[in-house]
Amino acid sequence: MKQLIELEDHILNKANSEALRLRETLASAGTLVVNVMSSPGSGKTEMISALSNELRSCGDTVAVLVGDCATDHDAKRLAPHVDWVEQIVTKGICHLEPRMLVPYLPELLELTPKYLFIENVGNLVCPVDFDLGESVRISLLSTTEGEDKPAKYPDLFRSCDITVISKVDLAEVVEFSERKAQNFLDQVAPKTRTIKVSARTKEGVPELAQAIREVAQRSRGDEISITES
Amino acid sequence: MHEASLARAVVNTVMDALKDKGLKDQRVTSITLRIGDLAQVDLESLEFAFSFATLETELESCRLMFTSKDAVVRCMDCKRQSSYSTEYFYRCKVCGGPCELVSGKEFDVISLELESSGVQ
Repeated sequence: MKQLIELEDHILNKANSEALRLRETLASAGTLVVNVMSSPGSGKTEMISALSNELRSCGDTVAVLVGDCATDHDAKRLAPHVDWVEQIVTKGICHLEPRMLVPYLPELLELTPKYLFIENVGNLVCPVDFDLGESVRISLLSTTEGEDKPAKYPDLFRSCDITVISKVDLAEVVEFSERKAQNFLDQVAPKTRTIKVSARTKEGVPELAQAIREVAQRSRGDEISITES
Repeated sequence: MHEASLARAVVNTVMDALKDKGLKDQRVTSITLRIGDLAQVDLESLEFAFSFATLETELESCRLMFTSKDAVVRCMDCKRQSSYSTEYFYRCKVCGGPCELVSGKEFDVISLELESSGVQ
């Protein structure tokens, strides 16, 4: 005998509830979670290092969870610039999922950093769908990868609160057109703020730190909600 | 590897639903999913990953069925709805205003077909 059961369950419900628990737990401990996503080699690690130096110079504590398919190279690169860092080796999985973060929660709750940056696996497709309990999403578009990345991968750029145009110190050499990039961003992500950053010259780093601080201030004591994804 | 994670999520969603409804021991013969045009799910890859995710489980040899959902945007200024296209992305094709997504990101289990063992 056959029986048809009607349902209306989103397939990522379980992952989303884990993310919600992470967000609520970390927010009530006073930690702002920032999910950083972009293609490999666009400068996530350098940007987080520069940003962390800036935030720590004001006395704030910064923790980082960094995801890669293999090696702990990024954790080692980040270590001198942050208060706490752990490498998540995904062994080939192309994105981070909330369940991968859960084991670090007790340590994070003990440390209670002001900011937790999650450096996602370098990828412009898969990380989009996985809420990691963040309150801010940042994407990077490096000057070396071409202006039309937002048009080719609209979902990722659209899901972010801030797009960082990274490696701006190289813009002239690689003939990067900021106007073209901004046009593509305006099409795919009209509500996203753009900030130009060079982790090497520190251009834009204070502005980016300020943008994140503003979100942290808004979030404090408030109900936190992530942007449309 | 994206679809491998999604296949596992399908399995978890179905197993949780069966448990919630007290139907844990029933054999599932098919699962129907609703997948939006912008859900970034490749159906063939998902089927392939699903066949591995269900090996030696209650869902082994269960079929996946799909229904699609068009991507539609609505202008936040003039309120006009239109089909999403990569010509305009999230800008209104009429007034140029910013658009929000009305549908297209769906990734839902909408029904299960069960075969009750031992019941005639």
